[in-house]
Amino acid sequence: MDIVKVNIKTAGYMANKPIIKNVALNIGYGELIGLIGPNGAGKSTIIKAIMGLLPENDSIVEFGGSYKNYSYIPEQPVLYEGLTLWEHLEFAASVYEIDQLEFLNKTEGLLKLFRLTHVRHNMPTTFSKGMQQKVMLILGFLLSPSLYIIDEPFIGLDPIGIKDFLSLIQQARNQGTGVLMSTHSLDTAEKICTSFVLINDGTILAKGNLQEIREQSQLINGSLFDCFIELLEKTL
Amino acid sequence: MTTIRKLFWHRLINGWKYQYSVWKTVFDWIVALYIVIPFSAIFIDAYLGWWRQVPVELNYIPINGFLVIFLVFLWSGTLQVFVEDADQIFLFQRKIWVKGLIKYSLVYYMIKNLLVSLLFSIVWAPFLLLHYNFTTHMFVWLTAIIFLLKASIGILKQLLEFRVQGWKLGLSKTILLFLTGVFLRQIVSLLLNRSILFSLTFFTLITALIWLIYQRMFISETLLEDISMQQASKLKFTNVLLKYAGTYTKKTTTLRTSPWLFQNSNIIFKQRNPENSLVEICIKSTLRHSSNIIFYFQVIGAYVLVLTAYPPVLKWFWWGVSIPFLIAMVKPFWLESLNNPFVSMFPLRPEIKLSAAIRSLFLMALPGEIILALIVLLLTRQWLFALILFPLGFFLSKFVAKKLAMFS
Repeated sequence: MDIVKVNIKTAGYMANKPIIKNVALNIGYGELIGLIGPNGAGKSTIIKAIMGLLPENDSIVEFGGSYKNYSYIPEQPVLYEGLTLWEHLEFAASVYEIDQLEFLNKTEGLLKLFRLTHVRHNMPTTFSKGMQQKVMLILGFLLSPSLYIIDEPFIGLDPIGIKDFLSLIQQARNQGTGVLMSTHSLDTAEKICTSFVLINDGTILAKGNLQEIREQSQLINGSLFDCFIELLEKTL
Repeated sequence: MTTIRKLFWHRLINGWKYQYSVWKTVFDWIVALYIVIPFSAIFIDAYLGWWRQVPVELNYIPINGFLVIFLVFLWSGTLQVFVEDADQIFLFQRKIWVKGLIKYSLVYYMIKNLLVSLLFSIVWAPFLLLHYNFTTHMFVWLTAIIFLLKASIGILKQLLEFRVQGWKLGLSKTILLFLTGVFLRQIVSLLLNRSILFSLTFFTLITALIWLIYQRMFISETLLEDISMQQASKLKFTNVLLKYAGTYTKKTTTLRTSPWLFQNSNIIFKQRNPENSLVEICIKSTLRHSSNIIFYFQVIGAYVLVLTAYPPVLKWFWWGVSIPFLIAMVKPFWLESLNNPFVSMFPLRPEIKLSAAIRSLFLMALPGEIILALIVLLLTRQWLFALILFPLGFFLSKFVAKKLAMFS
């Protein structure tokens, strides 16, 4: 049973100028799909198409099963200049009508995990890029969604932050949450993703688990990085 | 080859082109034909009329009251140093270039101030010469004082911004504004009384300006602040237009890590729900940007001046007019809050947005309405009138807030 079935025929920002063509992917419960591709391949555009944020979007996105909602963690932290970190979290909690006690317990844990407790009443716009990224992760994990859509989560995060993030993702997956993660960090993706969708020039270059990707690239013992480069070079 | 002078001219002309392109978006030929040209003609006609006969209302305004207009003019604007974002990388280690840009910016600032001071004085010349008994000689001296004071205050405000932050800056500026008012009043009084002290004060003012220019030239490590101020100044008008259009514009990030109001993220409304949260973040983010507060109280101050010029009954009428005016004034604060990318990430139902808009507009305009009502009450002493009009004003506020919120 899948959480979401995505079938994008064409999608883009302007009429008759599609950036994405014929992209189909399914995300099942507990699955972690790595969306991999070079700069400008269309990874973020696919994410926007799934969320219905594109002006030109000919696609079908079907959520199924016991799907509740999704949580999107963007590549660039999106923060409010006039609010403290705590106020960001409170706003998110009240919009999603999270019970106050649950909110307090969960937030305290997340702030502690990401070592942001001491700056909870500071304005995150003054934080470093990595700290801002952690704020976005906390906001994402606050919601307990059925699906996480995460765009380049490792940029700016320190190694401990990455470890904590991965452990939270693992916990969520154990509870059945699906994850779609766009990333350039192929080494990490190879270790944690259950399957991959390799994108180039707005279309799917290859998809499947590591073994299937290896077969498609004809590199039987190749790493994800090697397979990716091989597949890319074949298209040039 | 690029020289400092060429770079300065290039940036100055680009700045003018940019401002022209922004103005052009508002003042197309239709606006020019139906608003700008007729209003200019009306103003010129009124101005020529003032030279024949000054308005009788001036009899109610003493010279010290009239000087408030001059004080507002003196306080407006500051030195703009023509630096850009990329200068952090390319010019940071080229101190001579940065100093050169500051020097040229100062020269431009002086010339611009001289011209606007001349224009400003010419506009008010009929009142000064025909009503307030200034001789031509005195008028010329007053123009010189206005120029010197405006130039000095512009630089002094900037030096304060480099050295003081947060509430201390607000307090320092308020004290400076008060002292400027007192100084202006005293120097005009000395001028009108033909006191020998006037010449002495005048030359002290020239010395002070020279000292301030020297200080501004040689103050070190201000490139980042200069860039931030230049960006804010360049985008000032654009931001106002975008705010009214409901488009979010990114604010300059302050160096302050914790806010000066609601420091511990204290809540305004005890009950947590999406509507209360929306109202709360709108109020908090508006209050936490000092430029919003300054703008709010500047408008209130200007409105108080308008109120003083009318007879008692009309004062109440103008107070009533202030209600939709103030609500319209705070609406961009609400739109800015609603259109913030962070808020846009969350799914909010239209009816929640609408009820939050009504409450936000009502609550943000309320302090201004109360201040104006108290001032009218103090000026008119019509207590009975107030008893009837205050509740009416309250309901009118609610009604106008609802109507204006619907156009969000």
